[in-house]
Amino acid sequence: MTVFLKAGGNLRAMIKPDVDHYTRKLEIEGGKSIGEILEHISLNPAYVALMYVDGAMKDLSYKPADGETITLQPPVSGG
Amino acid sequence: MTAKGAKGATGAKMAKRSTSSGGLAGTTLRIDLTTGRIKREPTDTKLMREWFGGRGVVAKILYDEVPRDADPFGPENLFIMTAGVMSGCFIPAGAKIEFGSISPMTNGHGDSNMGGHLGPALKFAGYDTVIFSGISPKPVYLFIDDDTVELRDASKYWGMGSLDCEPLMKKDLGEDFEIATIGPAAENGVRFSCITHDFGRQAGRTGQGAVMGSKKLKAVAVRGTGGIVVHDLDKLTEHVTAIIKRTQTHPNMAPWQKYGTSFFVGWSNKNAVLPTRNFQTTYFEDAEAIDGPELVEKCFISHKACSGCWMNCGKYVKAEVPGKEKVFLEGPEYETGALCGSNLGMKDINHVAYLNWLMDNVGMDTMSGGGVVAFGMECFQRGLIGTGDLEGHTLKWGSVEDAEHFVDMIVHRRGIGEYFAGGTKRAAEKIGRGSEKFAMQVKGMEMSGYDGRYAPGMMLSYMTCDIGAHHNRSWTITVDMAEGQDKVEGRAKVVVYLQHIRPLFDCWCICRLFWGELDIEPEEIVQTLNDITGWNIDTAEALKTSEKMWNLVRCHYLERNRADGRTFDYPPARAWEDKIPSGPNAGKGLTKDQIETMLNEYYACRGWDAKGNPTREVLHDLKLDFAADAIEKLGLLGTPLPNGIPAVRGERYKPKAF
Amino acid sequence: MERKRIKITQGKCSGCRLCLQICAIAHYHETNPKKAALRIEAHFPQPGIFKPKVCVQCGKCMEVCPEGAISRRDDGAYIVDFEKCTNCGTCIPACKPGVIFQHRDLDHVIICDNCFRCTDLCNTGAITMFIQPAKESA
Repeated sequence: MTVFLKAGGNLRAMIKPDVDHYTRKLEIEGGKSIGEILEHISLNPAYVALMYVDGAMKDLSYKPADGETITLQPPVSGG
Repeated sequence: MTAKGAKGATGAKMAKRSTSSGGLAGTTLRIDLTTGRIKREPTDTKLMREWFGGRGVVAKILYDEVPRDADPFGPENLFIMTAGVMSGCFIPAGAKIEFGSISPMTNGHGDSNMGGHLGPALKFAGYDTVIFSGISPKPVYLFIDDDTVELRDASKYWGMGSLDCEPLMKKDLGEDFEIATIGPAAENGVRFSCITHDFGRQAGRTGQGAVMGSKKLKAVAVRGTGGIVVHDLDKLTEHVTAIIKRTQTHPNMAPWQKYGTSFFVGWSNKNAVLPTRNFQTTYFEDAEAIDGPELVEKCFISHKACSGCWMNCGKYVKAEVPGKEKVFLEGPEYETGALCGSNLGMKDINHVAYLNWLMDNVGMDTMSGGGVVAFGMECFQRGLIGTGDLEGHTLKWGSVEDAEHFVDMIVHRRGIGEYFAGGTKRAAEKIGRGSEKFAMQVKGMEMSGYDGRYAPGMMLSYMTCDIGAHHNRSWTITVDMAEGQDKVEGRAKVVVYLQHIRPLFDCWCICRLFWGELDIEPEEIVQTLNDITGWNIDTAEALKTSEKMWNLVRCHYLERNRADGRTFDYPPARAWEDKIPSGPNAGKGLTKDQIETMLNEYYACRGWDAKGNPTREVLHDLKLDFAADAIEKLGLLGTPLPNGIPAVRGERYKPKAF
Repeated sequence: MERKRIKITQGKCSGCRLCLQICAIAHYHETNPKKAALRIEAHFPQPGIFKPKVCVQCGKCMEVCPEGAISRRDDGAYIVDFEKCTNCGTCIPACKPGVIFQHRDLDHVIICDNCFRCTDLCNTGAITMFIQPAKESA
């Protein structure tokens, strides 16, 4: 199935966007969690402060459906 | 650029108004509070250009004009208010106003800024900078209404809380006045007092409110109907509109807008850097109860933005604590959420918000305030103070009633409140018995909301920050995580780079949060600066100017405090004596050797000697020979480095941890 | 002709005042919120909300103008003729949302001309462009 990762800030380079400036398309097996997807692209989840799908906050155990976009939020660098 | 659409609606008959040009309003005010004399002079554009405005200009004026032995609470200290070149110029988040004076906390250069709308208002009224000297014989406030500048009697407002005073002043003067006030904490000389504006924005750090209070200056009220002229408005509008459109669809914009920085409490906790119970540990079991989503769900009223910023990170909320009146405030943002939340063992977001309101209203910095109350709570925990010292009250972790009473003792300096009114460093000196170890401060100012024992770059940032243990200059936690939290080598050059780039926002009076979190490159920021000012600078020159400021401030600090720089650059002993006792980072911590290693590396990186003193070589490179001469006279000029100074000091870390 | 006007969605304004800035830039080529043709009313400390006030195209300004300096354009906007306007200010109290302004630099009043630059930049959806389809009879 297809999922999309979307990120800005210092996460953007880490997800290696290929669809547009912020978005990476991934073909993965069904039933994978966000945690497993991040592991698949070698992204340390410690760099991710929040995760969203359609505006709803998710955690690493969430299993996205086909075609969903997971937005990753890096931590604020102080404020 | 002409208006679209309507016939006859283009700019008609603009009267030649003021001296505004290149982003500056054109006039500087010098106000002697002792005599009440107000002098207008043209803004020194050369000073602005050389020192970039904002923090830079504050640093130079303080260096040039305040005698080295001046008491921060005395008439010779200056209190400076300045809006920089970019504030108010149709620049995203171009809202800041910068305050500066010799800090009563650190006895060195102190500066703090805040968002809201006061910075732009000052410039619309026609003023870039206001420099106060002396002490007013009676409480006054500064009244500015375009060309009218007056010191007015503030006896009606003296004694009022900041959040109570602002609506009254707006009612008296006009809703469209921008108001900044101090509260009773500053009036009573509490060293970590802040300045409050727009119902919830603060210039919190370094005790700027306390200096205002010492001068009997209760408030500043500004209305301006003028405009600001920039160097190239068409280019600026084009660039800014493009940035606006691009960031509107940035993936991270929505959560920023929804939560502000409050969501960060959860992240800090998950990564075990969240200060808990006075930095005793770094993981708080109840963090979820005080995290951003809780705040938004339980307390939220509206989003609140600073001038020209659509990230609108401000959250205007209500706090409801049983038995107390419902209160309204802006916050808590991350720092307050941590330092008045987990750091005090608070388990209810309403309690954290209530304490935020309390401190905003009495006018104390919530960061230092949280640190001071936490220190008090640990002293109570350890039996160093008891109910007899606390007017019969306890001071227990997680008790909002205890915290409120303790804050009241501090504001009115009753009993041991007197010790704590000086901040944790001075309180520990009075309490003694080993409490200095857990007075979480450097140079006299309390630590920000991140524990650095397993984030060495962060610890180094606290140690070497010019104004005390603050994160605003350099924040490295993700770098620490990427490079290995057990390793200390290699952090220094990253810290140095951040200490150059981040304060530039304080010079230009724009908000680092907007510009730093949305993939805007430094070159784009410099481009908009050039559109506004016509200075035609590049990023390298910007960084070098910032480095110059950093070194000037260091030299000033050495001159005032008369000892080798290294003396002042250590964290409290908890940093190396207490390993983290619990949570995901249990057992971790720094050693004293690692602290020394980091300092050695940092000084070498900066072209300073091992005693932490700038060398003539680096000061000469920065055109600060006059500063070198001055510290040399005191025997504090750095010994020349055997291999010379690095050609460029500081290195940008990739990926960007801005 | 279709009518376009500014629609306010209450509860969304964050008080950033970008709308005021772009209005003044578009019409007077300077950053100066006091030359904007709309305003943001702040209600603090309670209830703690912002209310944008914009031209609602009611036409009262045109009705009361003693100089006939205001006329209605086909798309619904009310346009000030700067040559005819004497800046007497009679229109100001007639404007219910209170969005007619005078400024010391100008010798005419400021009334919104429906350029919609403000709605273009508003990021919260507090003010948006609303298009009313054309009717059969004018």
